[in-house]
Amino acid sequence: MERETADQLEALHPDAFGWALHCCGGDHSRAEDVLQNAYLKAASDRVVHSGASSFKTWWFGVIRLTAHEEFRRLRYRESLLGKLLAQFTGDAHDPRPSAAQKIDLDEQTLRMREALAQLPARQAEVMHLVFYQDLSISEAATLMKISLGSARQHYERGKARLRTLLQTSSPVFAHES
Amino acid sequence: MNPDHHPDHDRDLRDAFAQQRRSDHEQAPAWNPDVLRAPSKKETRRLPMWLPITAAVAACALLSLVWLRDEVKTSPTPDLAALPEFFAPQGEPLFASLDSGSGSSAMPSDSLLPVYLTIQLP
Repeated sequence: MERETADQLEALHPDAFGWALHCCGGDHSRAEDVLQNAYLKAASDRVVHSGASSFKTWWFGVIRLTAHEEFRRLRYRESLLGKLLAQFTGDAHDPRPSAAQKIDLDEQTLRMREALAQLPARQAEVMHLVFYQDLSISEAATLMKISLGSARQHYERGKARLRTLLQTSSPVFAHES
Repeated sequence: MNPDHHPDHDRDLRDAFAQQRRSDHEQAPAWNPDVLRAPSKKETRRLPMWLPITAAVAACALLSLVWLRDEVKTSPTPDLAALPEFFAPQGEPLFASLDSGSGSSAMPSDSLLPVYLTIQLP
């Protein structure tokens, strides 16, 4: 791997973890696995930035794809056959966040995560990419492989719905807005 | 600055996301350059492509062997006429010599019992 790519990955590491966390529904250990596997893909040149989009958009697309692969694997593990195999191999996974992780998260972050979880997946993704990752709607559309028009629609609807959800759950947020 | 953001309208959402971002960054695992070199422990172990094909061929071969064995078992026996005659049938019935003896078959079966055990029918 080129030094320049490694430096870019290092600079994006905290945000990449935040994105992996979003893709994994807030599950820390799974987000770490997803990120690790995405790094492995980059290290073994299974994914290469061609320059068609910005490095961040490309890298986040890789993480998103890796998270989807992990999700499919998880669905298999949670199937009857997968559960039987897990019983034999002793490889069981608890998707819930640990008590320590729950305590570490402050109340507002938890509320935000819960509100995002109630949004349709596409809306939540656009919200995260635009507000959290500071990408443009166009970049979010490229990353999510949808048209710009669709992304705009998800953005507007997501904003309205997220505000409603946050105002319902937090009177402080309602006062501020 | 993101051109899609409206500085005044979306301040509440931006603040909320910024808070979440700070919290996530605090919990993010430290950057380790080794992740770009060391293989992942949890990487999926994929079966090689030749394995299912080999298994199918082996199964076919096994089935063929079983079928051939059954075929050999059920095939007609070789010509018996070509074999020598080991057991030639005798001309007289079995135990014929016993019947033609001293008439012992007429003797009652309880003839050897003591007298007090013999039942005398009227």
